[in-house]
Amino acid sequence: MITRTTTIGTLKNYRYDLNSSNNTLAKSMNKVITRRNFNSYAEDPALATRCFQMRRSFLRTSTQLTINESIRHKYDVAWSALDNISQDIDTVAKDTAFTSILTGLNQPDASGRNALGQSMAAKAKSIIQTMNGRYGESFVFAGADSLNAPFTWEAKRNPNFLDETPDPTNPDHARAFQYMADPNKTGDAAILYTEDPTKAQTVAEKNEFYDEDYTKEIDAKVAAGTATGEELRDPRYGIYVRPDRSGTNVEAEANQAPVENPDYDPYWNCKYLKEDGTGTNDETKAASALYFRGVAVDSTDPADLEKMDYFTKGEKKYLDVGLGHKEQDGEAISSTVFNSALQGIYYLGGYGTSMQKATVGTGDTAYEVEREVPNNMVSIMNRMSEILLRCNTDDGDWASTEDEEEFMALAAKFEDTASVIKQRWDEMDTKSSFLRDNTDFLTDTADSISQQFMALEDADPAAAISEYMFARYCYDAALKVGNSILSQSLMDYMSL
Amino acid sequence: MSIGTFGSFTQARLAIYAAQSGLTVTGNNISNINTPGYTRQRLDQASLYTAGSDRYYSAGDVRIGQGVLVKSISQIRSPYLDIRFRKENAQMGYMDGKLDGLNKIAMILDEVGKGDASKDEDGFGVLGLEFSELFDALGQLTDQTGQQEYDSTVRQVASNLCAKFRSYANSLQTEYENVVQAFEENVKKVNSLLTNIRDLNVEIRKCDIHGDNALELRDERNVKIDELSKLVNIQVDYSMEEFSYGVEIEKLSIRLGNSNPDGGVETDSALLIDGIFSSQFILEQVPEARDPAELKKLQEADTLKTDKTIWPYMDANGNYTADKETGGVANTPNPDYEQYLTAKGTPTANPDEARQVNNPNFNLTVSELRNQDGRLLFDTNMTMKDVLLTSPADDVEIADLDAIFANLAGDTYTKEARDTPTEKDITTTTYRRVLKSNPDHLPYLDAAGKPTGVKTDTLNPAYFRYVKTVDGHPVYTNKADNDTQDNPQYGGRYLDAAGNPTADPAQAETFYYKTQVVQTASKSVELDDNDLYGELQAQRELLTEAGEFTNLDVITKDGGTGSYRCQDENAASKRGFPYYQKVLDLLANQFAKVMNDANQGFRTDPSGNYISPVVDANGKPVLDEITGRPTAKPITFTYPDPAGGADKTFTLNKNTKWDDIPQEVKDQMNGATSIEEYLKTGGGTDADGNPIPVGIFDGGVLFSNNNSGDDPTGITASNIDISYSWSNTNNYLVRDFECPQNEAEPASGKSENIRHLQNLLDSQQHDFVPSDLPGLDNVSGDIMFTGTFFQMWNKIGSTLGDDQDLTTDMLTAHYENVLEIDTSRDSVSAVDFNDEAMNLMMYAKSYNAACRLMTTIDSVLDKLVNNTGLTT
Repeated sequence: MITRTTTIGTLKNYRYDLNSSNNTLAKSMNKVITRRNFNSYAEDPALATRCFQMRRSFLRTSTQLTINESIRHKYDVAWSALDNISQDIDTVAKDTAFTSILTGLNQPDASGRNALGQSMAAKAKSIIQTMNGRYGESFVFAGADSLNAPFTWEAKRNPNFLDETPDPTNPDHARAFQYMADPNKTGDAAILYTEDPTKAQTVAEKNEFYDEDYTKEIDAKVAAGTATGEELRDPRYGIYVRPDRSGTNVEAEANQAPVENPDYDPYWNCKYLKEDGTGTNDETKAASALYFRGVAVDSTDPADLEKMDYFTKGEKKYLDVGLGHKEQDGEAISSTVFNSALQGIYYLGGYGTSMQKATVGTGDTAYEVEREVPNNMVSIMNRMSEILLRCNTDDGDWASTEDEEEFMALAAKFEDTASVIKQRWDEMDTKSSFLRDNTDFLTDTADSISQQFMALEDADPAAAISEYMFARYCYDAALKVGNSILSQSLMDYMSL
Repeated sequence: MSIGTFGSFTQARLAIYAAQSGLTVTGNNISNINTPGYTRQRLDQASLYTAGSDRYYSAGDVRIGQGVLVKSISQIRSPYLDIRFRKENAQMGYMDGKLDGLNKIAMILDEVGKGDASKDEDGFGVLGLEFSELFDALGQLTDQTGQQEYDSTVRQVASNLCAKFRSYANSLQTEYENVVQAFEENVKKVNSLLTNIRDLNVEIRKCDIHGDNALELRDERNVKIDELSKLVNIQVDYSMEEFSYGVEIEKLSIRLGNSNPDGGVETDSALLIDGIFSSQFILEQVPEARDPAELKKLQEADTLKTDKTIWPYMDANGNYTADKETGGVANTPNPDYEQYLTAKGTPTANPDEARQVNNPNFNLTVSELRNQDGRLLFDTNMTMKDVLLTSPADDVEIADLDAIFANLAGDTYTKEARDTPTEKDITTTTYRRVLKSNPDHLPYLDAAGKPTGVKTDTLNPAYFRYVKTVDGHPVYTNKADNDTQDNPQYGGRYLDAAGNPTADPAQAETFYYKTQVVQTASKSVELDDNDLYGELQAQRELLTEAGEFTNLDVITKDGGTGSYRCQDENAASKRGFPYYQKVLDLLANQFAKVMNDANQGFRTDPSGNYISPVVDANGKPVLDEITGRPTAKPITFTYPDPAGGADKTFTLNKNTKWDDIPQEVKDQMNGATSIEEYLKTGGGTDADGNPIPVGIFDGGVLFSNNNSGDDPTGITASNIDISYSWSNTNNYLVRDFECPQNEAEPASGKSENIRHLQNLLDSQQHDFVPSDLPGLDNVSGDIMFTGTFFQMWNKIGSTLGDDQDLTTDMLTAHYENVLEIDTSRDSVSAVDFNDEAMNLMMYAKSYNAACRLMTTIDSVLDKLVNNTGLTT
């Protein structure tokens, strides 16, 4: 049976179709206005989810890029600082006075050594100023302690300073007592040390000038009865010395000397050390010592060295610069993050001391020495300046042979350390390059992600406008159709 | 018989009347073309023909019809299409209601295209963007650690994030309340429709009785039924009921449409309308309960369990407890437990004093059916018919009946009873008493002298009560007169219990028969959660369905518990407002928990050893001489070697497990039972009795359940905020727990913990488990999602989007089906101008023709009457 099409049914269908047409028009209009392919999750849940994830990636990349840029700028500052330091080192290395010392030449007026000393001291200070430079509010070379200046000049501390009343029973206080105590004399077995030689352990005093061959020769004469008093009083005679300072081979005849405490430090109660190594409690008279983050850079104290090891090897300031930031057991996986901590001490050659060989003198008189010298460039320069400033102001003569030997060792170390600093500068350059490349990479990534989600989200203007025009055309046509529906029926053709 | 002379006038008159009626019906159709629900009417007419032969019928005569008769006006309607339309309408109503609710949720949670458009790529989203901004702020802080402005930025962004959470939660709650209101309105609308339909049934019934078709009333009723079908899935039945003997009238019944997927449930076909009786939907009200979180806090504070008003149970020893059972023994409910709130908001233990609120599950009950006068509908059923009462089973009843019938004239006794005061069923019991009759109580004797009912010439003297002597012969009779005397031979019509005849009914053996008729009152029906379908059910599901947060009893147990009424194994995949509120709460809660946990801990040295501050003899911190910073040392114990060797040392490390600590060390830990406890309190107590920590604790909660405290318990999206301490303390974020050797503080720019926070926020995959959300009972402990916080937020949006998308498709499909069926209905029932124009022309022509007929007959008769045979 043919379906009976009624006026009401037609109108209802038309109303629905017109509404659909209008809805399509509104959607296409919305697309043109918002320039977006969809405006709710419901329109395309999978695509919306994907776009949100891509936007999240984009924002993450933007953050990583910002951080990367910040580090890169910090590295630029650091690189410039090391550049300045290298130039300072070069300036010192090329100083005429310095080269003449190293080549064994003396200037006509050797007083240039004082000037060199002053220059070195100034350069050392200058380097420290540079190393205490900031990027923004952060100290560039302070490692992870970026709010505090990393390097400080402090009065040189006496590592053996004992800031309390010495306790002769405490082995940790041994450095405050000159002698080893004798329990029989002190009457207290717990007392280990003493300052009173009368209560100290005693030992037959050895002849410090003892000459075995000479003693044998005189003993032969004594046996032959030919030894003279003068020969017997010769300081070379005898293993021991008697109380009258004459020599003897009989231990029982020997002078009984108090046993020295090998740990004794005469400056145990001095807080500071002067440049010559003697103690003082006057901070102004103390030698200057360089400290990095509260630790003396030249310290040989194991605890200080352990801390310096931590600063240079253990302490990290990891940042997410788009390397795939991951954690394991709450700790960052180092390969997925970037360590932005720059430890100034590392870039100045290191910390602590090491034994350094050097040749003193030239030609046939040249000889080799080995001295314990600082590993750190500033300490090296500082120490060299101290030695140079002690040289005779008139002829430039070394204050002592020890000074000359130490200077030559320091000079040798200076060259090695300058080389190390240059290597580390290169390392920094490599890292700077990485950061620059990473900036490019992150920028490209952000652009790529941006293009991807915009391609998904953003409507193609031509398609959107065409779609809108077609929807408009359909809607207009639907309106016209509606007009026809309402106007036509048999009623209109009925004759009255 | 042929038509009479003037019968032709009647024929023409009937034709004019029929055409006139046709025009009127057509006019009515045209007039009502725009009337909603109007069903086109049709004039039913028939040829008038008087049947049967009369006595003088002539075989040669020709029978002619007597014209046209208007029989009735009828509607043209297809019940099958009505059924299809209403089924589809319910589906459309369901999808429409659901989509409306989902759109409301999407207005809040759907962030596609939202945000600051001026920021272009960076300005997309709102809450999602706050997560990104927090990530960015933390990232900047990892680089610029210790810089106060960066620290403040993190705090401000976190505060904004919390504000967004709260804003969304509040908006969801507002929309939830709007849907509650809409649901309540729809319940009222359903009730109004049911009442209207019942009232229309009454009117139609009256019309039916008087022979009126009541077409317009039926149209109106159909419109109401159509409206009802959108709200609730219904099944409409028409039947005939006997009004009086031989007279039947139509009865309309409406039931729920058997929507429950559980075939064993019967409540989903509850009767809503039965003729002139109708029910109402009742929204269950319950006493308002106190906030469980608040009660839990009070219980935690009442460590001695002395406050009788906050504990729900008492154990066997009378101690208050929160547990239903202790050691497998069920505890008794505490009558003093103030679990409700009065209208003033004060706690009360009395449910009658409490404010009545909607059941959280929005349970609906279909009431009993009543007519306009409020009378209940009864269904009459005979449960017992003339059953003999026997001894000894019915001894008591028989004894009672003996007493009753002793004072009763007649042999029947009827009583009506309701079993209980609240029981509305009426049981009518009728007892019939039967006395055992004497089988020999017969009027004649046969030839053998035995009593018989067959008439013989010999009367049975034992049959007659009286005797008199007539002509010397005894005459037996049962009619007494002045001459009669008692017949001594009279045997009696009964037999007593011994089987002896007796004339005394009281001596006769008695039997009782019982007939019982029960009039069952219509009863209210508590609807199961899935009994409804249509817009009302969609709204109910929007208000109750919690998806993965559904109480497990609802999913797994038949009958459900608490406020739930059914098992619904699909409940975990149905998501309404409760789901979106709870999933947002879970996201906020997990976010706060993860960030709070990460911002608290004890400091260590680079080796991971817990450190303790170095103090002088006066307890003051010893500062480093160069840096001026406080110093610290690892927490190390010395203890004798059990093997007798040199003393050993043990250092507490962050990787140390409690079980790994030698007992000799534990003995030195001031009775602590965990490493954390020792670090917190192992230093004994100070002068004020406060514990002295051994370790150096750093940080604190970042997020709290309010801004005026540091309480991390019960954090939800609606209350999350940055903690009071964070909002008032600079550099509150722990930058790191690792300190350089001998130092008590981490390096000023160290940022491992901030980086860790950043990782937790953006990269770390977290497990989201419904049971982790506080305040929920018996919900799934399975992981519902594993991902970052942002992914979880994205998942919420995509879940909503998927649901919207599917519902939109379904709605469109159902809407088109409804439209198609409605068009089909219209093709049968709707008015069409072309049809009516044809009718107009047809009836107009008929009218003209009938008039012409009348004129012709008049002309003919005029000739016959006035001009035939007359001559002038």
